[in-house]
Amino acid sequence: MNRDLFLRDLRNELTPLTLNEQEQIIDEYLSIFDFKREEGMSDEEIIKELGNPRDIANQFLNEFNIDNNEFRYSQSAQPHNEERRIGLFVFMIIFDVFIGFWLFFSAVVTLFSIAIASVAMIVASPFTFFLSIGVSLLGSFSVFCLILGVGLLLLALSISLSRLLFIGIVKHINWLKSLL
Amino acid sequence: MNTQFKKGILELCVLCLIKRKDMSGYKLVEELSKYMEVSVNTIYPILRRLTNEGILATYEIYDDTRKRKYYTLSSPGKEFYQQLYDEWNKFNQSVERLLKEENSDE
Repeated sequence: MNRDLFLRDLRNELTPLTLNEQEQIIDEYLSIFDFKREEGMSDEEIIKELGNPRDIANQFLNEFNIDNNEFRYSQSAQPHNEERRIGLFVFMIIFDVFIGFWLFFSAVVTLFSIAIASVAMIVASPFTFFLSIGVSLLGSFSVFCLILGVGLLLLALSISLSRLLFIGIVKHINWLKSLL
Repeated sequence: MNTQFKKGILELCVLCLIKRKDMSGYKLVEELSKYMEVSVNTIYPILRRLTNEGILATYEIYDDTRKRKYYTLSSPGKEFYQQLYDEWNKFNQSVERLLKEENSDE
């Protein structure tokens, strides 16, 4: 691991703090590298001496009374830095209005048409027997099976995809709510 | 040792050294290391918090091409230090008296 990687990891662990605070802390650690390099230490040695970025970040978060584990393991960005959260929220709303909603809309339309098509195929499949009078029974039976099978498959597909879409939308909305 | 307790004492030591002479975080840790076993990872958070609380102030000095951040005691910081120092002295004396009395009992 080199210096920049170490500082990047440290910054990632410091995300519950404000951007300014993160900057100050990274600055301090950057100067440690300067001093230690002058003493002739390699980056690897310095990093080994400093320890794990997460442990370092924990000391800062403790000092600022932030329960870092709660932050890390909960999906909600509660103690997240205010400006970034609002920025993300505004961005997501704009994204949803201009792109997200239309993606959702087209997905619904597509799924709906697949569902309609599948129902139509299932309902229409027995008619193959009437249409293929004169052809062998075996032939019309296989056509019946084919259409019914494809219809059932498409129906199952559209149902499961709709469920996924629904779950995804609910999650997305909950996430947006957690940003506020 | 109780970490809260240790932190309070470390805070006093940090403030005392900075009161004597403005210095960078790194230099401060070096100075403290002469007296006790400390690492940058324990001192830096204290420095950041004290700065946020307005007890310490910082200014930047450019030597060569690099900038160095120096910590200094703000005027409310000086008051705070005096208060902490007096508290510590009083506490220290009480503990010492208590320990001596115990020794004389033996």
